[in-house]
Amino acid sequence: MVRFKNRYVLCEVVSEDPRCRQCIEDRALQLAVRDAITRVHGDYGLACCSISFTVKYLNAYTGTVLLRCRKDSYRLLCSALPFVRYLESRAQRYPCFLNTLHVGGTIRTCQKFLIRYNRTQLLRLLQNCTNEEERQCIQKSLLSCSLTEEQSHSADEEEDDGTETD
Amino acid sequence: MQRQAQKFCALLKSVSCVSLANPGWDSTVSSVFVTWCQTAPSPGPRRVLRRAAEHHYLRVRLELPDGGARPNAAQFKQLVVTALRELHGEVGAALPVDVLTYEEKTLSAILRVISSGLVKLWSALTLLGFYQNRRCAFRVLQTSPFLLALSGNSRELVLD
Repeated sequence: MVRFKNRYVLCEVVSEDPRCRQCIEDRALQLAVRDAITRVHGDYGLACCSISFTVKYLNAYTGTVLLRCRKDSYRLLCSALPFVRYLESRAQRYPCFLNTLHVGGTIRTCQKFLIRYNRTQLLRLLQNCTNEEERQCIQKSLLSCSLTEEQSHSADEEEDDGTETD
Repeated sequence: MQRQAQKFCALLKSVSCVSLANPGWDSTVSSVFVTWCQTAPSPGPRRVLRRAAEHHYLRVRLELPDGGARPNAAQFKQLVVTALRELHGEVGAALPVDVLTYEEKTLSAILRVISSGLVKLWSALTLLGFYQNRRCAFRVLQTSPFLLALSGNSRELVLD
């Protein structure tokens, strides 16, 4: 018995409109991605990607999304992701796009990458901050995330994500 | 001539390590050179293709119910592109497919497609089911990487 191999695609939803955050939800995102795949790769592509395609993790606050699909068809999925142009929920459309951050074989590697990525983002914020108060705030969160990571691996991710938007 | 001489010298050195300064060899070498020039292939790149063919050619026939509207060449191409778009999306519709010949009377055509898209085109043609809301079907009669191979079909030979 051989396990089915999957690919996990880590993306972030980028939008100009702050109201877009409230419509980042499981169903809307899945619909938008499926629509893009149908447009770009047709019925064949949709059928290939539909096998075990799910939204595994979704953080509406930071706009982080983890998609899963079969290893054979992840190229179809990745090539269709730039063609997602809007998210639709409750009969309202918000223009946005998906930025692919990482493609990994397990959720664990994606999580590790996300933590590392968010830490570098914090450092970049630290360089760009304008006043002292901001600097203090970012330094505090930077220290806190590096401390908690040694204690537990999984619990700090939410906290780590949250600090990015400060 | 100059280039050929240089090439010849390099060849000699590589083959037998002959010292060209040896006086006794001079006449022999020059006569060999003359014969080499005559027998060697004419200068110019010799082209041998070992990769797969760039295009594939398909002879197809469209089957339509009797009495229906028959597509002209442009509509035929449109039909092929529609089939590709349905099954393979925009990526499929962007494949370079050419209709080389099309006979409206017999509804048969010869298509040319880039080799990497042969499977996509073939599957799209197979799964096409409707033309203007009427049933239709594509029959792929012959396929080959050489256009000349489509000039005759061994399955249509009449044996006495």
